[in-house]
Amino acid sequence: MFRALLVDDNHFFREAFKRDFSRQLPSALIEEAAGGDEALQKVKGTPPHLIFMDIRMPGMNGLRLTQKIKGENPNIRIAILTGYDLPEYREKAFNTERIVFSEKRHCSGMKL
Amino acid sequence: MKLRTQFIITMFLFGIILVVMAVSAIIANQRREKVSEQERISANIAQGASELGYLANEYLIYRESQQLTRWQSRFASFSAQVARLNLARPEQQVLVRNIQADHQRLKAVFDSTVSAFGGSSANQKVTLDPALLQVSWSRIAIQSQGLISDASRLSQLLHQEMDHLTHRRTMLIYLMVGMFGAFLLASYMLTYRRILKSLATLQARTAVIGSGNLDFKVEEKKNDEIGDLSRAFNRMTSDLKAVTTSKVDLEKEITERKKAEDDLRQQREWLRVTLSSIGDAVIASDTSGRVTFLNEVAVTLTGWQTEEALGQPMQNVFRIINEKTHAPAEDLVARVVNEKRVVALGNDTALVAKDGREVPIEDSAAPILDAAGNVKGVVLVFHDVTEKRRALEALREAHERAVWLARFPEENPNPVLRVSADGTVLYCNAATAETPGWGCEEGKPLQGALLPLVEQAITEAKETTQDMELGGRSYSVSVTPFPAESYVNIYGSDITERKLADEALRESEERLKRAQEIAHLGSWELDLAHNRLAWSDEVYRIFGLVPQEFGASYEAFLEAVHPEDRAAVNAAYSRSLRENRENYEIEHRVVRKSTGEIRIVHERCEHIRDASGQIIRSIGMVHDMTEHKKAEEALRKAHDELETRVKERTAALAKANEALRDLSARLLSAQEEERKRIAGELHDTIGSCLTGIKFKIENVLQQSEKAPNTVAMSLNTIIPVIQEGIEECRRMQQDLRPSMLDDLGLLPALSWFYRSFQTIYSGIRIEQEIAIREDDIPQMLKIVVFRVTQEAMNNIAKHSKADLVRFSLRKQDDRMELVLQDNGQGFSLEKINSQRATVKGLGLTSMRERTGLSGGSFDIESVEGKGTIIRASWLFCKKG
Repeated sequence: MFRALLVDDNHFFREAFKRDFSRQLPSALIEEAAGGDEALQKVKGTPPHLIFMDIRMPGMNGLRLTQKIKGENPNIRIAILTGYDLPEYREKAFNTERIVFSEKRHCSGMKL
Repeated sequence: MKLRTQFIITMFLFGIILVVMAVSAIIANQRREKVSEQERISANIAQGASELGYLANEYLIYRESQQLTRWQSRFASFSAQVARLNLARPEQQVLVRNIQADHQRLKAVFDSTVSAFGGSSANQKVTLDPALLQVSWSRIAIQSQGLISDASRLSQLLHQEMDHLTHRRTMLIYLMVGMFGAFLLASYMLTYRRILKSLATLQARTAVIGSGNLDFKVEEKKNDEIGDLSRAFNRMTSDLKAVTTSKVDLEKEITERKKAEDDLRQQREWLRVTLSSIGDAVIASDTSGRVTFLNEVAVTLTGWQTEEALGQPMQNVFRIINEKTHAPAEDLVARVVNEKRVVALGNDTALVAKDGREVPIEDSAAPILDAAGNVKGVVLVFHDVTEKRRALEALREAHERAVWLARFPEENPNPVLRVSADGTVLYCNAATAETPGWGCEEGKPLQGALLPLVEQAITEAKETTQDMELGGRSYSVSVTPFPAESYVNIYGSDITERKLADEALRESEERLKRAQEIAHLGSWELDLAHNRLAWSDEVYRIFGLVPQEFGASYEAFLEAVHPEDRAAVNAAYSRSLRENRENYEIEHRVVRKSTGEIRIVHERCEHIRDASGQIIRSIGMVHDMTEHKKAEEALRKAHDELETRVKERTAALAKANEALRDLSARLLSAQEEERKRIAGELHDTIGSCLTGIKFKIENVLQQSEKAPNTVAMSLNTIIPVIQEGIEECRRMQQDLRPSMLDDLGLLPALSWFYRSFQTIYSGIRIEQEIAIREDDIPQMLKIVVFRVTQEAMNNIAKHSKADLVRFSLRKQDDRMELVLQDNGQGFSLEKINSQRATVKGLGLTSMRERTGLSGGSFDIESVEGKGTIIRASWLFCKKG
C-alpha cells in the first residue's frame, strides 16, 4: 500500500489536505505529523513513500527536516509545500535531491 | 746397682789392674837391673880379657915375676868377674860356658907358658926362642881374643834384653798413667753424673719441699742411694706433713684456748661491767630464793640498797603484780627452779618498788646451771618499759605517718616513677599504670621516650624538664637525679589542656598582632603602679622601630612624636590625669627614627582605676592614620574628579536623552505611520476582499432559494476573490518580514529583494558582489544585513537619483563587510545630523542603530554630487 505522510503545524490545513487526498487516492494511506520530532518518529517507525512537508513550522524548519530525513532515508520522496513559487525556492529544490516544491494554494488532489 | 757397689767394683778393678801393672813394672825393672849388672860384668870381662892379653904380652916380653904377679892378680879379679856371670837364657848360657871355658884355657895357656919359661929372668930372655915366644903369644892372644869376643857378644845380647826390658817398663808406665786417667774418668762419671747431678736435682726438689710445699713429691726413678734418699725424703715429707698438720692443729688449739681464756677473762670482766652498767636490772638468787646479787639498775628500780637486799627473799625485793588486776604475780624463782628453763613474764607486769611505786616492767627469769646441769640459782633480768612503751607509741605513730606519707605518690593523679641509674623501674604509682603511653612495671627496664631524658638528667646530674608527647597527650616530664642514691625520680604532669590553651592564646595573640599589623593599629599599656610601659609590635613599627628592640618608655615615645606636637601630646596625657578623665584622644604626627618619614597617628587612651578611684593603669591605642589620610585625600580628589565627570556626563546624557526622545518620537511616528499604512492596506485589500466575499455569499444564499442549481457556479466565482485575499495577505506578510530569510537564508532573500527592487526601479542598475557563504553568516546578523540593505536601497531609490548601485557583501579575514555605493547626488552629513530627528527621518538612524546593536560598526560617507558610500562591518564571533 502506498503510504504518505503530511507534515504541517496547521490543523485545519492537515484536515482539508487529508480529506482531499483520501478522496482522490482512496487506496493510499496518509498519516500526519504536527512537527519535526513527530515526523521523524513516524518515518523511523514505518518509512512512507512520500512526504508532504511544510516549510515554516515551529521548532525544526521544514527544509532542515527534509535534509535530515533524506540523510537517513534517501529513497523517500519529499514534496515541499510552500506559499511562494519563487526562483530561490526552486533553486533550493534542485540543489536538494528528490524534492518537489509545490505551492500550497495549488495543493489539491487533482494536481498531485 | 748401689753407688757403693759401683764404687767398690770400680776401685777394685782399677786397683788390681794397677797392682798388676806395678808388679810387672817392678819385675821388669829388677830384671833390667840384673841384666845391666850382667852386662857390666860382661863388659868388665871383655876389658879384663883385653888387659890379660896385654899383661900376658908384657910378661912374655919381660918375663919377670912382677908381670907375672900382675897377670895373676888381674886374672884373679877376672875370674871373680867370670864367676859372677849368672844368666838364664840358653844362648847366654852358651856364651857363659864359652867364656868360662876360654877362661880356663887362658889360665892353662898362660900357666903352660910360664912353666915353659920356667922361671927365667929377664936377662935370660935373649936366650929364648922367638918362635916359642910367638906361639905362646898367639895362644894367649887367641884365648883372650875369644874371651873378648864372647864377652862382647854376651854384652850385646844383654844390652838387647835390657832395651827390651826398658821398653816393657816404659809401656807399663804409660799403661798405668792411662789406667789412672781412665780411673779418674770413671770416678768423674760416677761421682758427677750419677751422684752430684742426682744430688742437685734432689736438692732442688727438696728446696721446693723446704719452701713449705709438703705435697710435692720427689721423683724416685733410680734404685740407688739417691733413689733411697728421694724415697726417704718423700716419706719424710709425708711424715712432716702429718706432723705439721697435727702441729698446726695443736698450735691452733693452744691459740684458741688462750683466746678462750682471754675471752673468759674478758667476758668475766665484761659481765661484771655489763651487769653493773647494763640498762636492765639484774637480780640473782640462790635456789632457796634469797637474793645474792643485784645491780645498780635493780637497786634503782626496786628501791632496795644492795646491802639490805642481799640475803632477803626474792619476793620481798622483787615484788611483782599484774598491772591491771593488781593481783600478785606468780613466784618466778620457784617456777624456774622447777622447770629449769627460761621463763618470761606476762605483758602487764608491774614491779612494786620498796616505796610502793609501780613500775611497768618486762622481764625474764633464767636458771643458773652448773656444769652438771644442776640449778645453782635463778637470775632475773627486767627493765622499765615506760620509755619503751612511749617509744613504741612514737614508733607506731611514725610508722602510721610513714604509711600515710607513702600513699602520697600513690594518690598522685599524675605519673610518678623512680628509676634506678641502670634504667630499671623501682617504683611507679597507680597513675603511671593507668596513663596511656606511660606503661611500665616495677623491676622491668624503663621503656620508650623517657629513657633519653633520664640519661640526660643522670649525665648532667641536675633536674631536667622537658615537654613530650606520650600516648597522644602532652606531658611536662621532670627528672630529678639523686646520684648518691643511684636513682632518679620522674614526675609527669598532663599539660595537654594547658598546651592547647597556650596554643590558642598564642594563635590569638598572633591574630591580634596580625590584625594590628593589618589595621596599623598598635596598643600600649602603662602600669602606673610599677611604672611599666609595654608596646605591641605594631607600635614599634608605627614609630619606625624594630619590634621589641628595647624596652618601651614614655621618653622613647615622646622622642618619636613630631617635635611640634610633643607639647600637645604630653599635655593631653597630663591633663587627662589632672582632670581625672576616663579617657582622651589626640591626633598627632610621629617622625620615624629610621627613615625620617612623617606618619599621622590617632591615639586614644583609657584609664583604669582601682576601688579607691586611683588610676592604676592606662591602656591606649595608636592608629597609623597616614594611609587613611592619604586615601581620604585621594578619595576627595577622586570625588572632585568624579563630580566634574558626572557633570560632563549629565550634559552628554541630556543630549543623548534629547536624541533618544527624538528617536522615540520618530519611532512612535514611524509606528503610527506603519499602523496607518497596514490599516489602510487591510482596509483596501483583505477588508474589501472579505466584504466582496460576504456580498457574494449573500447573493449565493439568495439565489440558492430561487435556483439551487446555480449554487455551485456562484460559489466558484468566490474562489478567485478568496485567492486574491490570500495573495494580498502574503504580500503584506512579506513586507513585514520576508519569509525567505527564515526559509532559505540571507543570500536567497537578497536575491529575491534585488529582483523585486529591479521590477519596481528598473532605472537603477545594481552590481552585486557576494563573497561569503550562507553558512558563514551568523544567524542573528542576517536580518540586520537585510534591513540595512533594504533601508539603504529605499533611500537610494527615494533620494539619490542614482542610476548605479554597487552592492558587496564580503568576508574579510575575521570580519563581514557590507558596502553600498551609489553614484547619486549625495548629501551633507552635517546638514542631515543637525536636522531634528523628526525632520531627518528614520533611515540613517535606524541603520546605525541596528548595526550598533548587533555589535557592528556603521560608517557613511557622502559628498554632494559624488554619491554616498555606506559601510557596515561586523566582527565574527569566535567559534563556539
